[in-house]
Amino acid sequence: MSRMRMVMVAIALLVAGIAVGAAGGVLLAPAPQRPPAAPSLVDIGFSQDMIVHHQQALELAGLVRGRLGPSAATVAATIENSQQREIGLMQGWLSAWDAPQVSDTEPMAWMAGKHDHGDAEAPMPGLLSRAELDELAGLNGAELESRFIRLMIRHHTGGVEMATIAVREAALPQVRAQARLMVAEQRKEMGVLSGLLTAGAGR
Amino acid sequence: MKRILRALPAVIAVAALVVVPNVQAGASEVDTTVARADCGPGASPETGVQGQVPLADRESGRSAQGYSCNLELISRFQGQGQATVGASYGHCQYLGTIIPSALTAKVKGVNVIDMSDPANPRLSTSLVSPATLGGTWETLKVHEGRGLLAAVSVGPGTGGFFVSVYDVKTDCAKPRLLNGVLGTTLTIPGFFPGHEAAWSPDGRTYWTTGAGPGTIAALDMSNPVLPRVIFNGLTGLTNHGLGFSPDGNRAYVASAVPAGITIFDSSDIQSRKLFPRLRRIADTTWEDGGVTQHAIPFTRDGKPYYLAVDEFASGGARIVDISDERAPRVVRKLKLEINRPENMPLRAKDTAKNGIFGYEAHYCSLDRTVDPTTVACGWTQSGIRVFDIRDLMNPREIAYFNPPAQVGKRAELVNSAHAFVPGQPLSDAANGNVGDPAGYLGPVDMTADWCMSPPRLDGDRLWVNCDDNGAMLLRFTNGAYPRS
Repeated sequence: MSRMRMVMVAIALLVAGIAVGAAGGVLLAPAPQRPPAAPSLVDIGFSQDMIVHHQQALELAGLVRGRLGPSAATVAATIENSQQREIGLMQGWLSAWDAPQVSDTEPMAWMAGKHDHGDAEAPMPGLLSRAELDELAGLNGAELESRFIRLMIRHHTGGVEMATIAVREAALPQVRAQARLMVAEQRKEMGVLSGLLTAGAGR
Repeated sequence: MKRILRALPAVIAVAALVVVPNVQAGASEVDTTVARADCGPGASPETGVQGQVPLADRESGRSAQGYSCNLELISRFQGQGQATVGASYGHCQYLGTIIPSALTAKVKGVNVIDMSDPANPRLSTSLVSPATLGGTWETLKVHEGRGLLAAVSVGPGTGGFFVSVYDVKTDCAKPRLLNGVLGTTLTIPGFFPGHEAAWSPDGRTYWTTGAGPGTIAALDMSNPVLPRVIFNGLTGLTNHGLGFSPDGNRAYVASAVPAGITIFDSSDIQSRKLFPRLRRIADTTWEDGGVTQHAIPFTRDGKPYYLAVDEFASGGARIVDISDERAPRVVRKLKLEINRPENMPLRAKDTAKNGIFGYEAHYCSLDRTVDPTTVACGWTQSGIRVFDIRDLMNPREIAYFNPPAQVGKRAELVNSAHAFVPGQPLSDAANGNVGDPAGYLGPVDMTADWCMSPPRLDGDRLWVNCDDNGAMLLRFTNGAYPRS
């Protein structure tokens, strides 16, 4: 067989293969609704920004470690554990998507105007300023506990706002599911924290 | 189908957004060779290939005499050894600590060695605040201009929580703790990671990173009596050492996995913004090395570069052109002959019983950051290596000093990280080197020291410290440096 002929045969086989494959694909594919496997701007932006947001929750909990009453300490430890785990998950996603761990755009660009910048200059909903963290670090006793609870509730409120957008707009089902879980767990934690505040925790 | 179509714009947008890191693995055409030093009188030259302490020398006892070329030892204070990265300022040296030495050392804490009289080096005091006891790793750093020495309590590897800052300017032999509570050696804990640390060029910020999971923090040191955390971030999977542009607005952060350097815009922190963040500018990664240790930015004839050093996989050091900072380009690599791929079998035999780090580069320093002429490195089992980089594309070695192996002294060197960590050459595993014979898990054989600190070039003197030999002061000979 001449070289040219071999090439022609190979091409023919390849074309046939593609045709058979395509036909098989059409015939065997389940529903055409399969979502795209690629992450969208929302999936990536949400993961990058939520890592930053979660990191501040860890800092908040880290600043009061060993200085809270038992109930508040339990909630703080729960928050630390779940958010640490979720940071790892989102880092894993970004890594698997070959996306940068840190965003190159302005924070919340993926929310496209849905963030109302209610918190003066906070670049993300519920993000606390350095001054607020410093102030917390300097407190003690009942004051520390109630301040911590209030700050964490505000921080979580912002987190829920961010996750809610991702629940609606992320492209990948696992991102939407995780965002839904974040909304649920942070709402639950806010409930417990509010309860502690009402019950006079730290008083 | 409709749904897919609807998602198309987003997918296309993402294709533009997903940044494939600037992988330079294929840049193998970049030259790695460094000409051997031309050793003048008084040398005790290496007997194998460049950078090697051959197995025969380890077995015969030859390595216990050390190797030198255009460098001579003028002072040494061994004490209890030192751990990983030590520091120096003026005529003083500060020896890093490991976790168990907080219990086992005779003189606990960071030992301060006064070498004002090189013939009689002495232990002048020891620093025992929470941050300096038990594991300073790569956080013990001096800011030369302000004369401040800082350290973080790293503990087993990614600690933090305590920082100590000392005035060494007033009297380097008697550092004064500035952030002690009410004159005690206790300090207030804070929330920040610790494994590596570096000062911003203006000395107002002391940055710390945790090895994993990519944590990084900045501490305001404007008033060192009250260090204040001003930034806590998470920027990668693993963060290692870091270096800064002269204005402090660019941070060059080393990544352990994957190996490489990420450039960040750090101006938010430098200018003390209320909600600071690091903006990523470029990732550069490579596969012909591992666990990038740190980077030093510099300029040559006005053109910006950084020197990046790898701690694993015989990666050595590399020079990266950042004239387009969004597209850094590796233009030259520096490896010793022993680091070349064909010498892996030699490495495996030589270092089979001498701990987890083999012939690896670790920390380097430049004589200056504008038009540097010389780079000096701690190259672990290859000792101290000094290169002439006036011709950036053709670096050559000008001197080396691999201190005498401290065979038989393992038990007394309670503060040497080398003496403490047993096992086989983990650092070169990516090249298939796990020791020959493999599987050794016993105590290190001490047949070559580990030099992992950045040497300090100071006129014709070179301040260095190595794990087993402790603090040393070397002098260049034969006019090797400074060059007239």
